Amino acid sequence: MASKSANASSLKVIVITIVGGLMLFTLPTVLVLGLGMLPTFAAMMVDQRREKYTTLCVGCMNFVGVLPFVARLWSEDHSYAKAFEIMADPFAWLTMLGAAGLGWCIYLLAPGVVSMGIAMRIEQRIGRLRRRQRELVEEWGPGVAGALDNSEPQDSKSAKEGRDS
Amino acid sequence: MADLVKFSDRFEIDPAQPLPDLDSPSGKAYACTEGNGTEFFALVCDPKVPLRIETINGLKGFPKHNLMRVTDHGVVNWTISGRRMPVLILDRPRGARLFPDPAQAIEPFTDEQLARGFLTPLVATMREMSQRGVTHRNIRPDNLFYSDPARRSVMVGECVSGPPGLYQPDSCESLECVMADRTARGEGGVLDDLFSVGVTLLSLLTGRMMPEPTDPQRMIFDRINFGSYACLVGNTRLQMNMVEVLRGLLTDEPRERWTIRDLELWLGGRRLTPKQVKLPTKAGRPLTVGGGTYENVRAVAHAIGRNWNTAAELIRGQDFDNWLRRSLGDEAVVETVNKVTGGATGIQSAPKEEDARLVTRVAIGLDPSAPIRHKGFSCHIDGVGPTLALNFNDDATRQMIAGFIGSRSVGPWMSVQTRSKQDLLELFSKFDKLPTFLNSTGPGYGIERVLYELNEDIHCMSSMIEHLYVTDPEEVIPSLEAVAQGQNRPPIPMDRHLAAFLGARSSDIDDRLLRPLGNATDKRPAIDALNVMRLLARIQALSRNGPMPGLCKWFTELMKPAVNGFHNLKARAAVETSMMKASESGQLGEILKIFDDQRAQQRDQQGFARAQQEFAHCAVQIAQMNLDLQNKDSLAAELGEQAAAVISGVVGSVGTTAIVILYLV
Repeated sequence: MASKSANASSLKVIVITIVGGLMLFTLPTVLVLGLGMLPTFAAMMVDQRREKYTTLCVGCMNFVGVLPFVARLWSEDHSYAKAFEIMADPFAWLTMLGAAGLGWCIYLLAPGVVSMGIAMRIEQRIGRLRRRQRELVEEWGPGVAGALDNSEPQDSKSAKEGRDS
Repeated sequence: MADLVKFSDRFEIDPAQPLPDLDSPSGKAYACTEGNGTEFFALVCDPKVPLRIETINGLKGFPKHNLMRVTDHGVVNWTISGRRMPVLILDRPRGARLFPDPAQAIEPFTDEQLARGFLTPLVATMREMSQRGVTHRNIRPDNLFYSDPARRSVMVGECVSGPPGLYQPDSCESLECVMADRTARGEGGVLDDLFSVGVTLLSLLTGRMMPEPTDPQRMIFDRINFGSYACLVGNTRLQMNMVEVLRGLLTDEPRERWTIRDLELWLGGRRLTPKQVKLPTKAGRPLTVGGGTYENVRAVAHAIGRNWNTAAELIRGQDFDNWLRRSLGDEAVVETVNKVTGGATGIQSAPKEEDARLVTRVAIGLDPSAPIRHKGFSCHIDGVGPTLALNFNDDATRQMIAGFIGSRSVGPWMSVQTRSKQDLLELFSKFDKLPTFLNSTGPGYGIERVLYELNEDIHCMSSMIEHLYVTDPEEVIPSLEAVAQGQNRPPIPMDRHLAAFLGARSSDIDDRLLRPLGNATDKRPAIDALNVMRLLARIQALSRNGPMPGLCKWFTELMKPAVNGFHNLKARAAVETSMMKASESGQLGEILKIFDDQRAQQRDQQGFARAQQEFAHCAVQIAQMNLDLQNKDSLAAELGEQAAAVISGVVGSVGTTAIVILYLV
């Protein structure tokens, strides 16, 4: 156990050293990424959950919005001037923030859509079960329901009453 | 004008032509002709009174002596009463009744008339009857007719329209018979008939009938104490030759009584000195029973039989023991009493609740040839059946007979009989089985079963078919068909009488078919109807009297609950269809087959149980899903976030890949 945690902390140190080193050598990129990914940082601050779904949602879309400008930075001129030029471009901000917004939209709309899906699926299954119950009643008569027959919908009940009469 | 009633394809009975002169106490006489014009008369009998069918059969082909013969018998639809009635077709006497009015005297018969016109043909008749093993038991002055218009010869009237001795005046009955209740006098024997001949002879000699005593019991005790001859003849002046025959016929000791042979010899001219009447031996001192004093053993036996509720105390007392062993001085009587009671020890150890039985046995021991007396009921064992048949609707009679059978007195009585006839032995074995029937309370048993076991020829007294006068199990199904097609159908075509009748009359109807009729533990729908149908289907199969659509339709209605007992609606519809088809066939057996298919019912039950389980399982699942539906938002929030993360991840990956390709390639 002690050796395992030592390995993990040493790995962390190595990664931080490498990332720190890389960031030191790619400061314009860090600048564009840092400013462009601000919505993600904001989402991270807001997201209270351990799973960090909000951060993941917003972050993925935000990154896709920032990546073209990072690519432009790398492909045209990897400099502070170019980085500031990109950051001064409103379209860049629109793209980066729009992508983050899209992430927020996905995050906010998904539960509703899923809820509708779940409801539909449950109702389908209830319908199937009710159909089976009706088949049983048609095959065995109302006695098959016994004392449990309080789950039938109104329409089938009235149909049954019609048969009985 | 009522229509002629056809009977037996041979006879035509005219209900518009009653013949009151030929009426019997339990039957109305009507004119009847055969196809060839021969005149008979029909006796339409009271259905409540059992006929002597065995005697009718015994007299079949009887030669033309001076006896009113039964030419035919059966049942007719009698429009006057609106029911079926038993009918006897009898020889029509060509002369009138000797005593048209019992209160009116007639011209006394001369010796010649008596010998030639009455006794000679009568002796031939009695000889023939004796050879056939039947008794008349209806010989009395007012049952005599002239057999010819010239009044030369006398014929004896019919003897089969009622139980033996039922209509006999007490004076015409021997002591052994008169001591029994009127309905329970039994078949008796030829000697009892000869006693009746003696009394009839006396009436013809005097030209008047014996008046009925005002106190019958007093008369019985007088006859016991002084002899029947002295009591009946009294101060009547008679010629010596007539004294001889009357003393011979009216003696109370059966072994001393004249036989047919003696009568034949007398008619042939033999004359003997008249026998002195042998009176019963008197005890040294009288015994007090129920307030009266009695000097001889027969009188004591009769007295304790009549005072049964107080006699037990007397029997247990020393006084009775002293009287029996010392005063009476008859070792044979002591021995007989010991045999039936177990001696003094048996008497003393008999429990209090068996007092009545003790009294019965002591009475048997004291006077073995007398009727059995139990709790005031005095009977010869072959008279128990007619008593029950005549008064079945009387609760007291039913209890009386049940008590008599329960006392099991027939065994001890049989054990002290000096002569046991074959038919009595058969009857004894029947009595041996009766307590078992009596103790079973279900339909087919009980007192009703006793009724039909003891009366082999009576009709079924079931209220459903009593009016149809059914005497044979083969007639039951057509009768029930008539009931089924009638207006007032009972709830179910079975009752205690019908079940008992079938149980007693048909050897094929046994406990397996009768016991379920009274089974209250089986709660299946229409189980009663099913059990009844099983019994009647068996009878129908045995009778083979064709289809009975009405009865089948009745059962299809009765079996509806059993059809509805099928849970599977398709199976139910199939059963209903099969039942309708079977019903159309008119065979109960066909309907029975449907409901006797136990496996189909089991399959249905099992399937229904499974269906119920499945239905309940569905209901539970639906309830669970309804709960899920209510909680879908919390479920969707979790899943939605995950889905959003996945979608974003996928879009992000695709976008990133596209951008990298776009810019770097």
